[in-house]
Amino acid sequence: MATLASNIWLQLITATIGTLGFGILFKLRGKNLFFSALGAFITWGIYVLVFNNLEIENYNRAKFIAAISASLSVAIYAQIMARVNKAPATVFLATSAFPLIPGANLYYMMYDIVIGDIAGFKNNAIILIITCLAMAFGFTIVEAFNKYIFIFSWGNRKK
Amino acid sequence: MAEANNKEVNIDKKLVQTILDIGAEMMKCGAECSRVEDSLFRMCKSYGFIRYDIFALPSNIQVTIELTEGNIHTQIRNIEHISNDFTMLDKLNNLSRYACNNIPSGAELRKRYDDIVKEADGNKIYRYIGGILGGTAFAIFFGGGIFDAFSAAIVSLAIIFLSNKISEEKSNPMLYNFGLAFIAELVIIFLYKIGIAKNIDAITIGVVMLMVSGIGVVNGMRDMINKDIMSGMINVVNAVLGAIGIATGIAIPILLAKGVL
Repeated sequence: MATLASNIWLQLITATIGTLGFGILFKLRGKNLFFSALGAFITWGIYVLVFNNLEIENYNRAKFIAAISASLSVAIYAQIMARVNKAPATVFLATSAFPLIPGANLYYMMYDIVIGDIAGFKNNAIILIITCLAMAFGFTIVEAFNKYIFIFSWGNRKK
Repeated sequence: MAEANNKEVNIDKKLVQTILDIGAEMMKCGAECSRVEDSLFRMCKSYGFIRYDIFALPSNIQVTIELTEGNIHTQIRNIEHISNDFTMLDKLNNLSRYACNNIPSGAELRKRYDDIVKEADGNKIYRYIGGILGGTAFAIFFGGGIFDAFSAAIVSLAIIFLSNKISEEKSNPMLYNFGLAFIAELVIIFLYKIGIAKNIDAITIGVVMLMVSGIGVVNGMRDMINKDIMSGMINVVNAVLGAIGIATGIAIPILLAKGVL
Protein backbone atom coordinates (compact mmCIF):
# COMPACT_ATOMS: atom_id res chain seq x y z
CA MET A 1 0.00 0.00 0.00
CA ALA A 2 1.12 3.48 -0.68
CA THR A 3 3.13 4.98 2.12
CA LEU A 4 3.31 8.68 2.76
CA ALA A 5 5.56 10.84 4.91
CA SER A 6 4.70 10.06 8.53
CA ASN A 7 4.24 13.62 9.68
CA ILE A 8 1.12 15.38 8.35
CA TRP A 9 2.83 18.78 8.40
CA LEU A 10 5.69 17.35 6.37
CA GLN A 11 3.13 16.02 3.88
CA LEU A 12 1.46 19.40 3.64
CA ILE A 13 4.71 21.31 3.19
CA THR A 14 6.17 18.93 0.62
CA ALA A 15 2.88 18.82 -1.31
CA THR A 16 2.93 22.61 -1.46
CA ILE A 17 6.58 22.87 -2.49
CA GLY A 18 6.19 20.04 -4.98
CA THR A 19 3.20 21.72 -6.60
CA LEU A 20 5.15 24.97 -6.68
CA GLY A 21 7.87 23.10 -8.58
CA PHE A 22 5.45 21.56 -11.07
CA GLY A 23 3.78 24.95 -11.42
CA ILE A 24 7.12 26.40 -12.48
CA LEU A 25 7.52 23.49 -14.90
CA PHE A 26 4.09 24.36 -16.35
CA LYS A 27 5.41 27.90 -16.81
CA LEU A 28 3.27 29.51 -14.17
CA ARG A 29 4.73 32.69 -12.73
CA GLY A 30 3.91 35.32 -10.15
CA LYS A 31 0.70 35.31 -8.19
CA ASN A 32 -0.91 32.55 -10.24
CA LEU A 33 1.96 30.32 -9.14
CA PHE A 34 1.56 31.33 -5.52
CA PHE A 35 -2.18 30.64 -5.51
CA SER A 36 -1.68 27.26 -7.20
CA ALA A 37 0.72 26.17 -4.49
CA LEU A 38 -1.62 27.49 -1.80
CA GLY A 39 -4.39 25.50 -3.45
CA ALA A 40 -2.34 22.31 -3.14
CA PHE A 41 -1.90 23.00 0.58
CA ILE A 42 -5.67 23.42 1.02
CA THR A 43 -6.46 20.38 -1.13
CA TRP A 44 -4.18 18.05 0.76
CA GLY A 45 -5.26 19.57 4.09
CA ILE A 46 -8.89 18.74 3.37
CA TYR A 47 -8.00 15.28 2.12
CA VAL A 48 -6.09 14.45 5.29
CA LEU A 49 -8.72 16.02 7.51
CA VAL A 50 -11.52 13.98 5.96
CA PHE A 51 -9.52 10.77 5.67
CA ASN A 52 -8.36 10.83 9.29
CA ASN A 53 -11.54 12.03 10.94
CA LEU A 54 -14.21 10.10 9.12
CA GLU A 55 -14.76 6.86 10.96
CA ILE A 56 -15.27 4.62 7.98
CA GLU A 57 -14.03 1.09 8.21
CA ASN A 58 -14.00 0.40 4.52
CA TYR A 59 -10.65 1.72 3.31
CA ASN A 60 -11.73 2.22 -0.29
CA ARG A 61 -14.85 4.08 0.74
CA ALA A 62 -12.85 6.36 3.02
CA LYS A 63 -10.47 7.02 0.13
CA PHE A 64 -13.33 7.87 -2.19
CA ILE A 65 -14.99 10.25 0.25
CA ALA A 66 -11.71 11.95 1.10
CA ALA A 67 -10.80 12.29 -2.58
CA ILE A 68 -14.20 13.66 -3.58
CA SER A 69 -14.18 16.17 -0.69
CA ALA A 70 -10.73 17.34 -1.66
CA SER A 71 -11.54 17.54 -5.36
CA LEU A 72 -14.77 19.44 -4.67
CA SER A 73 -12.87 21.97 -2.61
CA VAL A 74 -10.03 22.32 -5.10
CA ALA A 75 -12.56 22.87 -7.88
CA ILE A 76 -14.36 25.56 -5.85
CA TYR A 77 -11.01 27.10 -4.99
CA ALA A 78 -10.02 27.12 -8.67
CA GLN A 79 -13.27 28.84 -9.66
CA ILE A 80 -12.80 31.51 -6.99
CA MET A 81 -9.17 32.05 -7.96
CA ALA A 82 -10.14 32.24 -11.62
CA ARG A 83 -12.54 35.07 -10.82
CA VAL A 84 -10.11 36.84 -8.47
CA ASN A 85 -7.09 36.61 -10.76
CA LYS A 86 -9.00 36.75 -14.07
CA ALA A 87 -7.28 33.61 -15.34
CA PRO A 88 -8.69 30.32 -16.65
CA ALA A 89 -9.77 27.96 -13.86
CA THR A 90 -7.81 25.07 -15.42
CA VAL A 91 -4.59 26.80 -14.50
CA PHE A 92 -5.36 26.44 -10.80
CA LEU A 93 -7.21 23.16 -11.08
CA ALA A 94 -4.51 21.25 -12.95
CA THR A 95 -1.77 22.33 -10.56
CA SER A 96 -3.51 22.45 -7.17
CA ALA A 97 -4.92 18.95 -7.66
CA PHE A 98 -1.42 17.50 -8.08
CA PRO A 99 -1.19 15.86 -4.62
CA LEU A 100 -4.43 13.97 -5.32
CA ILE A 101 -3.15 12.28 -8.48
CA PRO A 102 -2.87 8.56 -7.75
CA GLY A 103 0.67 8.22 -9.07
CA ALA A 104 1.60 5.95 -6.18
CA ASN A 105 -1.14 3.47 -7.03
CA LEU A 106 -0.05 3.39 -10.64
CA TYR A 107 3.48 2.59 -9.52
CA TYR A 108 2.44 -0.14 -7.08
CA MET A 109 0.09 -1.60 -9.68
CA MET A 110 3.01 -1.99 -12.04
CA TYR A 111 5.23 -3.26 -9.26
CA ASP A 112 2.65 -5.88 -8.26
CA ILE A 113 2.54 -7.16 -11.83
CA VAL A 114 6.32 -7.45 -11.86
CA ILE A 115 6.47 -9.40 -8.60
CA GLY A 116 3.32 -11.39 -9.46
CA ASP A 117 1.11 -10.15 -6.62
CA ILE A 118 -2.28 -10.22 -8.33
CA ALA A 119 -4.29 -9.36 -5.19
CA GLY A 120 -2.15 -6.28 -4.63
CA PHE A 121 -2.53 -5.37 -8.29
CA LYS A 122 -6.32 -5.54 -7.99
CA ASN A 123 -6.36 -3.41 -4.83
CA ASN A 124 -4.23 -0.72 -6.35
CA ALA A 125 -6.16 -0.73 -9.61
CA ILE A 126 -9.41 -0.26 -7.70
CA ILE A 127 -8.02 2.64 -5.68
CA LEU A 128 -6.63 4.18 -8.86
CA ILE A 129 -10.03 4.06 -10.55
CA ILE A 130 -11.84 5.23 -7.43
CA THR A 131 -9.56 8.23 -7.06
CA CYS A 132 -9.80 9.22 -10.71
CA LEU A 133 -13.60 8.93 -10.60
CA ALA A 134 -13.81 10.91 -7.36
CA MET A 135 -11.72 13.67 -8.90
CA ALA A 136 -13.75 13.72 -12.11
CA PHE A 137 -17.03 13.82 -10.17
CA GLY A 138 -15.79 16.55 -7.87
CA PHE A 139 -14.62 18.73 -10.73
CA THR A 140 -17.77 18.15 -12.77
CA ILE A 141 -20.18 18.89 -9.91
CA VAL A 142 -18.55 22.27 -9.33
CA GLU A 143 -18.46 22.99 -13.05
CA ALA A 144 -22.16 22.21 -13.39
CA PHE A 145 -23.06 24.39 -10.41
CA ASN A 146 -20.91 27.14 -11.78
CA LYS A 147 -22.75 27.02 -15.10
CA TYR A 148 -26.28 26.78 -13.79
CA ILE A 149 -25.98 29.19 -10.89
CA PHE A 150 -25.43 31.97 -13.40
CA ILE A 151 -28.34 30.88 -15.54
CA PHE A 152 -30.73 30.74 -12.62
CA SER A 153 -29.68 33.87 -10.80
CA TRP A 154 -28.83 36.33 -13.53
CA GLY A 155 -30.23 34.72 -16.62
CA ASN A 156 -27.84 33.65 -19.35
CA ARG A 157 -25.60 36.62 -18.81
CA LYS A 158 -22.84 37.66 -21.14
CA LYS A 159 -19.45 36.87 -19.72
CA MET B 1 -17.46 46.81 -56.47
CA ALA B 2 -16.96 43.08 -56.72
CA GLU B 3 -13.24 43.58 -56.26
CA ALA B 4 -13.72 45.58 -53.09
CA ASN B 5 -16.02 42.86 -51.83
CA ASN B 6 -13.45 40.23 -52.64
CA LYS B 7 -10.78 42.13 -50.75
CA GLU B 8 -12.99 42.37 -47.72
CA VAL B 9 -13.66 38.65 -47.83
CA ASN B 10 -9.94 37.97 -47.99
CA ILE B 11 -9.35 40.16 -44.96
CA ASP B 12 -12.07 38.23 -43.18
CA LYS B 13 -10.41 34.96 -44.13
CA LYS B 14 -7.17 36.18 -42.58
CA LEU B 15 -9.12 37.17 -39.49
CA VAL B 16 -10.59 33.66 -39.25
CA GLN B 17 -7.06 32.31 -39.52
CA THR B 18 -5.93 34.48 -36.61
CA ILE B 19 -8.92 33.44 -34.52
CA LEU B 20 -8.14 29.82 -35.26
CA ASP B 21 -4.48 30.42 -34.38
CA ILE B 22 -5.52 31.73 -30.99
CA GLY B 23 -7.68 28.67 -30.40
CA ALA B 24 -5.00 26.24 -31.55
CA GLU B 25 -2.37 27.89 -29.39
CA MET B 26 -4.70 27.75 -26.37
CA MET B 27 -5.14 24.05 -26.98
CA LYS B 28 -1.38 23.57 -27.21
CA CYS B 29 -0.96 25.36 -23.89
CA GLY B 30 -3.26 22.89 -22.16
CA ALA B 31 -6.77 24.38 -22.36
CA GLU B 32 -9.79 22.07 -22.31
CA CYS B 33 -11.64 21.58 -25.59
CA SER B 34 -14.78 23.16 -24.23
CA ARG B 35 -12.86 26.32 -23.36
CA VAL B 36 -11.31 26.51 -26.81
CA GLU B 37 -14.68 25.99 -28.47
CA ASP B 38 -16.25 28.58 -26.23
CA SER B 39 -13.54 31.19 -26.89
CA LEU B 40 -13.72 30.68 -30.66
CA PHE B 41 -17.49 30.80 -30.57
CA ARG B 42 -17.53 34.07 -28.65
CA MET B 43 -14.96 35.67 -30.92
CA CYS B 44 -16.86 34.68 -34.06
CA LYS B 45 -20.05 36.01 -32.53
CA SER B 46 -18.42 39.33 -31.66
CA TYR B 47 -17.08 39.79 -35.16
CA GLY B 48 -20.62 39.44 -36.42
CA PHE B 49 -20.27 36.53 -38.84
CA ILE B 50 -23.56 35.29 -40.20
CA ARG B 51 -23.13 31.64 -39.24
CA TYR B 52 -20.33 29.84 -37.52
CA ASP B 53 -19.75 26.22 -36.55
CA ILE B 54 -16.83 25.23 -34.40
CA PHE B 55 -15.60 21.80 -33.48
CA ALA B 56 -12.52 21.21 -31.36
CA LEU B 57 -10.71 18.02 -30.43
CA PRO B 58 -7.35 17.84 -28.64
CA SER B 59 -5.77 17.08 -32.01
CA ASN B 60 -7.89 19.06 -34.44
CA ILE B 61 -9.95 22.25 -34.66
CA GLN B 62 -12.45 23.00 -37.41
CA VAL B 63 -14.40 26.15 -38.13
CA THR B 64 -16.90 26.80 -40.86
CA ILE B 65 -18.02 30.38 -41.16
CA GLU B 66 -20.40 32.21 -43.42
CA LEU B 67 -18.46 35.44 -43.84
CA THR B 68 -20.90 37.30 -46.02
CA GLU B 69 -24.12 36.10 -47.59
CA GLY B 70 -23.37 32.85 -49.42
CA ASN B 71 -19.63 33.07 -48.80
CA ILE B 72 -18.89 29.98 -46.77
CA HIS B 73 -15.38 29.37 -45.58
CA THR B 74 -13.80 26.44 -43.71
CA GLN B 75 -10.45 26.15 -41.99
CA ILE B 76 -9.01 23.12 -40.29
CA ARG B 77 -6.08 23.11 -37.94
CA ASN B 78 -4.14 20.05 -36.90
CA ILE B 79 -2.57 20.08 -33.44
CA GLU B 80 0.40 17.81 -33.15
CA HIS B 81 1.47 18.26 -29.64
CA ILE B 82 0.12 19.56 -26.34
CA SER B 83 2.38 20.84 -23.61
CA ASN B 84 1.49 22.95 -20.64
CA ASP B 85 2.20 26.66 -20.70
CA PHE B 86 -0.29 28.20 -18.34
CA THR B 87 1.10 31.72 -18.50
CA MET B 88 0.61 31.82 -22.24
CA LEU B 89 -2.84 30.26 -21.85
CA ASP B 90 -3.76 33.04 -19.47
CA LYS B 91 -2.57 35.69 -21.92
CA LEU B 92 -4.40 34.10 -24.86
CA ASN B 93 -7.55 33.84 -22.82
CA ASN B 94 -7.29 37.55 -22.04
CA LEU B 95 -6.67 38.25 -25.72
CA SER B 96 -9.83 36.40 -26.71
CA ARG B 97 -11.79 38.41 -24.15
CA TYR B 98 -10.23 41.59 -25.43
CA ALA B 99 -11.21 40.62 -28.97
CA CYS B 100 -14.82 40.04 -27.89
CA ASN B 101 -15.09 43.33 -26.05
CA ASN B 102 -13.16 45.64 -28.37
CA ILE B 103 -13.40 43.92 -31.77
CA PRO B 104 -9.92 44.98 -32.97
CA SER B 105 -9.07 44.88 -36.68
CA GLY B 106 -7.64 41.65 -38.09
CA ALA B 107 -4.17 43.19 -38.31
CA GLU B 108 -4.23 44.38 -34.71
CA LEU B 109 -5.45 41.01 -33.45
CA ARG B 110 -2.70 39.28 -35.42
CA LYS B 111 -0.09 41.62 -33.94
CA ARG B 112 -1.27 41.06 -30.39
CA TYR B 113 -1.29 37.30 -30.98
CA ASP B 114 2.23 37.35 -32.46
CA ASP B 115 3.48 39.37 -29.49
CA ILE B 116 2.14 36.78 -27.03
CA VAL B 117 3.68 33.88 -28.94
CA LYS B 118 7.00 35.71 -29.21
CA GLU B 119 7.05 36.35 -25.49
CA ALA B 120 6.81 32.60 -24.74
CA ASP B 121 9.10 31.69 -21.91
CA GLY B 122 11.85 29.53 -23.35
CA ASN B 123 14.13 29.75 -20.34
CA LYS B 124 15.44 26.25 -19.61
CA ILE B 125 16.72 27.19 -16.15
CA TYR B 126 13.15 27.43 -14.87
CA ARG B 127 12.48 23.92 -16.14
CA TYR B 128 15.39 22.62 -14.10
CA ILE B 129 14.37 24.54 -10.99
CA GLY B 130 10.76 23.45 -11.27
CA GLY B 131 11.54 19.84 -12.05
CA ILE B 132 14.03 19.41 -9.23
CA LEU B 133 11.82 21.20 -6.71
CA GLY B 134 8.78 19.15 -7.70
CA GLY B 135 10.52 15.77 -7.91
CA THR B 136 12.38 16.20 -4.64
CA ALA B 137 9.41 17.48 -2.66
CA PHE B 138 7.14 14.70 -3.88
CA ALA B 139 9.79 12.07 -3.10
CA ILE B 140 9.66 13.25 0.53
CA PHE B 141 5.87 13.44 0.32
CA PHE B 142 5.78 9.75 -0.58
CA GLY B 143 7.87 8.78 2.40
CA GLY B 144 11.45 9.36 1.26
CA GLY B 145 14.20 10.41 3.64
CA ILE B 146 16.90 13.01 3.21
CA PHE B 147 19.11 10.76 1.05
CA ASP B 148 16.14 9.83 -1.10
CA ALA B 149 15.43 13.53 -1.59
CA PHE B 150 19.01 13.99 -2.76
CA SER B 151 18.70 11.06 -5.17
CA ALA B 152 15.36 12.35 -6.43
CA ALA B 153 17.00 15.68 -7.22
CA ILE B 154 19.67 13.90 -9.29
CA VAL B 155 17.08 11.83 -11.15
CA SER B 156 14.89 14.88 -11.81
CA LEU B 157 17.90 16.69 -13.18
CA ALA B 158 18.59 13.77 -15.51
CA ILE B 159 14.98 13.65 -16.68
CA ILE B 160 14.74 17.35 -17.42
CA PHE B 161 18.07 17.22 -19.23
CA LEU B 162 16.91 14.29 -21.36
CA SER B 163 13.49 15.74 -22.08
CA ASN B 164 15.18 18.92 -23.29
CA LYS B 165 17.24 16.81 -25.67
CA ILE B 166 14.48 14.55 -27.00
CA SER B 167 11.98 16.66 -28.82
CA GLU B 168 8.63 15.66 -27.45
CA GLU B 169 6.89 17.02 -30.51
CA LYS B 170 8.18 14.45 -32.91
CA SER B 171 8.09 11.36 -30.76
CA ASN B 172 5.24 9.12 -29.78
CA PRO B 173 4.12 9.91 -26.19
CA MET B 174 4.21 6.28 -25.14
CA LEU B 175 7.76 5.75 -26.41
CA TYR B 176 8.82 9.12 -25.04
CA ASN B 177 7.53 8.29 -21.57
CA PHE B 178 8.98 4.80 -21.84
CA GLY B 179 12.43 6.17 -22.63
CA LEU B 180 12.40 8.73 -19.85
CA ALA B 181 11.05 6.31 -17.25
CA PHE B 182 13.49 3.60 -18.29
CA ILE B 183 16.52 5.85 -17.88
CA ALA B 184 15.19 7.39 -14.68
CA GLU B 185 14.70 3.97 -13.14
CA LEU B 186 18.19 2.85 -14.18
CA VAL B 187 19.63 5.92 -12.44
CA ILE B 188 17.54 5.22 -9.33
CA ILE B 189 18.66 1.59 -9.16
CA PHE B 190 22.25 2.67 -9.64
CA LEU B 191 21.94 5.19 -6.78
CA TYR B 192 20.38 2.44 -4.66
CA LYS B 193 23.24 0.08 -5.42
CA ILE B 194 25.93 2.55 -4.47
CA GLY B 195 24.06 3.18 -1.24
CA ILE B 196 22.78 6.74 -1.66
CA ALA B 197 19.12 5.98 -2.28
CA LYS B 198 17.24 4.00 0.35
CA ASN B 199 13.61 4.04 -0.69
CA ILE B 200 13.22 3.25 -4.39
CA ASP B 201 9.41 3.50 -4.25
CA ALA B 202 9.36 7.05 -2.93
CA ILE B 203 11.87 8.32 -5.46
CA THR B 204 10.21 6.61 -8.39
CA ILE B 205 6.75 7.86 -7.48
CA GLY B 206 7.95 11.37 -6.73
CA VAL B 207 9.88 11.68 -9.96
CA VAL B 208 7.55 9.68 -12.16
CA MET B 209 4.89 12.22 -11.31
CA LEU B 210 6.94 14.62 -13.38
CA MET B 211 5.84 12.68 -16.41
CA VAL B 212 2.61 11.02 -15.47
CA SER B 213 -0.27 13.10 -16.61
CA GLY B 214 -2.76 11.56 -14.24
CA ILE B 215 -4.67 14.77 -14.66
CA GLY B 216 -5.15 13.70 -18.29
CA VAL B 217 -7.36 10.82 -17.21
CA VAL B 218 -9.34 13.11 -14.94
CA ASN B 219 -9.75 15.73 -17.65
CA GLY B 220 -10.81 13.03 -20.08
CA MET B 221 -13.47 11.79 -17.69
CA ARG B 222 -14.66 15.35 -17.16
CA ASP B 223 -14.95 15.80 -20.91
CA MET B 224 -16.98 12.64 -21.21
CA ILE B 225 -19.31 13.60 -18.37
CA ASN B 226 -19.73 16.95 -20.13
CA LYS B 227 -20.76 15.06 -23.29
CA ASP B 228 -17.49 15.80 -25.13
CA ILE B 229 -17.14 12.08 -25.71
CA MET B 230 -14.60 12.28 -28.51
CA SER B 231 -12.17 14.62 -26.81
CA GLY B 232 -12.69 12.70 -23.56
CA MET B 233 -11.71 9.47 -25.22
CA ILE B 234 -8.67 11.03 -26.84
CA ASN B 235 -7.51 12.44 -23.49
CA VAL B 236 -8.11 9.21 -21.58
CA VAL B 237 -6.45 7.03 -24.21
CA ASN B 238 -3.48 9.40 -24.41
CA ALA B 239 -3.07 9.36 -20.64
CA VAL B 240 -3.41 5.59 -20.45
CA LEU B 241 -0.87 5.08 -23.26
CA GLY B 242 1.51 7.45 -21.50
CA ALA B 243 1.00 5.57 -18.25
CA ILE B 244 1.67 2.23 -19.97
CA GLY B 245 4.88 3.71 -21.35
CA ILE B 246 5.96 4.81 -17.90
CA ALA B 247 4.99 1.54 -16.23
CA THR B 248 6.91 -0.52 -18.78
CA GLY B 249 9.87 1.81 -18.59
CA ILE B 250 10.03 1.29 -14.84
CA ALA B 251 9.22 -2.40 -14.87
CA ILE B 252 12.04 -3.50 -17.16
CA PRO B 253 14.94 -2.14 -15.06
CA ILE B 254 13.31 -3.57 -11.93
CA LEU B 255 12.98 -6.96 -13.60
CA LEU B 256 16.57 -6.82 -14.80
CA ALA B 257 17.84 -5.80 -11.38
CA LYS B 258 15.75 -8.31 -9.47
CA GLY B 259 18.90 -10.04 -8.30
CA VAL B 260 20.41 -6.94 -6.77
CA LEU B 261 17.31 -5.47 -5.15
